[in-house]
Amino acid sequence: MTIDEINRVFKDLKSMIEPEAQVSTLPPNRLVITASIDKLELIANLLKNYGFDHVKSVTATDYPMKNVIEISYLISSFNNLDLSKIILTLKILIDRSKSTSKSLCKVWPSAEFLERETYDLMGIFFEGHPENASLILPEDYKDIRPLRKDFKLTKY
Amino acid sequence: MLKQRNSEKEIELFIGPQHPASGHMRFIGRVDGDIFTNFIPDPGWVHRGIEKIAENRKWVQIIPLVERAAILDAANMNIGYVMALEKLLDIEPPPRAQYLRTLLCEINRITSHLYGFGIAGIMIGSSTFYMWPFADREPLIDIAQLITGARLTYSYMIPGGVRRDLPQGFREKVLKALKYIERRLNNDYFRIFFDNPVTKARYQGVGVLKRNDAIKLGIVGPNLRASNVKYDVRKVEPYAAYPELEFDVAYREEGDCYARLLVRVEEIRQSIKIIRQILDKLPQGPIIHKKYEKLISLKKLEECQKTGILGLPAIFTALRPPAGEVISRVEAARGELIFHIISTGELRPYRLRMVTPSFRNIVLFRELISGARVMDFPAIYGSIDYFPPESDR
Amino acid sequence: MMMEKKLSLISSLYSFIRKIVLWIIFKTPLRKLRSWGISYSLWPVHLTTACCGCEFGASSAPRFDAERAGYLPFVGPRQTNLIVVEGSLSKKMANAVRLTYEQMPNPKYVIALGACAIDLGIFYDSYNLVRVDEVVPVDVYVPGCPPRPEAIIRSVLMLQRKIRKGG
Repeated sequence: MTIDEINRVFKDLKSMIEPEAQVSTLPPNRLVITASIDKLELIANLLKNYGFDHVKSVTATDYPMKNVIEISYLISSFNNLDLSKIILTLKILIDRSKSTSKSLCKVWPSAEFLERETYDLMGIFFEGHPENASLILPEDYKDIRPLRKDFKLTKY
Repeated sequence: MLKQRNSEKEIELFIGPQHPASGHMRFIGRVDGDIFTNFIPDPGWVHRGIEKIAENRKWVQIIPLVERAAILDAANMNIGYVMALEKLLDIEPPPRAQYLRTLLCEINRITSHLYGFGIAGIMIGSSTFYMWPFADREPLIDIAQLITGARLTYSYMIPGGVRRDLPQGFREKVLKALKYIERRLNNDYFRIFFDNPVTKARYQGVGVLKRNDAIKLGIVGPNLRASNVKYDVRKVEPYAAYPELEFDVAYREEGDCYARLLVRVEEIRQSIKIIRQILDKLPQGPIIHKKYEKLISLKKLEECQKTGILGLPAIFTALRPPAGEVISRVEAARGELIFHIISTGELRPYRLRMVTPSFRNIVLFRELISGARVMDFPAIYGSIDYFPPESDR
Repeated sequence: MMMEKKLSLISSLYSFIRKIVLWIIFKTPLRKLRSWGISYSLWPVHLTTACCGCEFGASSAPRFDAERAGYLPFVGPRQTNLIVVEGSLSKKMANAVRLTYEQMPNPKYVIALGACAIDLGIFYDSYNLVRVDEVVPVDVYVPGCPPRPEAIIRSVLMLQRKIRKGG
């Protein structure tokens, strides 16, 4: 698949999504979509119908200065070997003091264990997820969640 | 440990970390007669917190840290991180360095698959097939020691190139080792294990994974390719020296445990073919990028011409890449590895995220073993090739 | 009075026999036979803790062959007498190691393998790791990251010499 074909796919996606969210491209083959939390499921269903069928990673980054947490979903395709060269990033911003978000498990089942790990290490509650429970840390962990910026590491 | 409920027929079993068939993790299963009705994996016993520790280290100090996530497969973890760093710095290593990196990655792929065979063999009780692959890893580990100086943790790739050049008499030793492994694989392994009627009875038709389920659950690696999906990162988004080398993607259609093992055998054959092409096509030239070569003292460069050892230049401790966000992906031995790095232009990264292939395969335990018999569990575990320290990081 | 005399006679007979048996085992040349037997049949239990487990497995492979030191990795804690703690010990795993150590019968020994088992190694500021000698008492430390299989076999030989000297 050449660069022109990738650019054509980017134009299609832009015209499909543009009124609901912002789209920006990073050549040669990365696309970034920034959305708000109410339009999240709508955009996810549009992408799934286009042919993107699994989630590769769920990354949560903490910005205490701006009082937000940014969650990025990395999405791509296994079935369609042309679309598998593109990785999309779907970003949303949530409030740091409330830390809840909507789960995308019904659209993409591959996000289940990734979202559960984000709950465990960052403390974000996903509404609609079948089991918000601890996966990696011990079950009686009571401190601040480790990946937040106010958790400081000390030498043992 | 067993726990029997008072008036129900089911028994709850804890297959814990101290068990010959469990590795470093725990499983909780409910058994009714001889069939598992429910099976839950419980990881987290080797969690060291690599993602949080990386926010406290300089950029070059993260190279040995990331390798110890999966110590068997250290070259592939190394190249994933260094490729992401080079995208931030916007440089490309010279061609000779690309070929040397590919050589080490393929050697690591063969040793990792042989370790997987050893564990699969001992789980169904064949201790001969535990001793033979572990012994056959040793010639390749000796070759890696000739190139880099260490048995398992190499730290060979640095941003801009590699650390050392090849010694004298290297080509003959590698060809001799490859001929030995090919002969063992094609004759002895098939006669003792793969064509054995006991192995076939325990592996064929067990733990079948269909194509749609594999895509929906997000499985990666040889487990995906054994279910008729031809996805390999070396063909989808080629990196290092792969655009100039010829090889095929190994895949099968049945999706049971036997197919997963045969996909790994075919991958070892393709890796041997790639290493032979690299030795023929290796170009001459420098092993580190021009921009960094100018910053090293002349005396050290002369020493490098004579002995081939460059070491790590001291300027790297003050490395400050520009601000930005990058994603890089690599095909490790167990599947696809993703690095997502956010930098703000300082001495340390702001956020390092690494998604390892074993973590994405955990869900296979819940899907394949629920509904299977109790003695199918070691067979399925050995064929998935799950490595707990890689999954918990 | 008769009952008390009988009880005191039985209790002193029991402690008398116990003292004779302990004298036979620990003070006569039979002690050398006992420690010779223990040192040449050290059986480790199947408990892998972290990444140094690869070199531990490779040391039982045909090139390095640790079984010539009298060594057989065995199934359960009740029939073994050695724990090899390989690498870093997280908080969840420390519970399991302590339980296994308490289930083993006396005399029992512990080898700590790798830099992470000594003082946390490269993960020196991690939030989820503990030091090994705060959980179980250690006999031999082996440095390295990971230690070579020859170093692992040498540590078993050092432990054997320590047992035969009377440790």
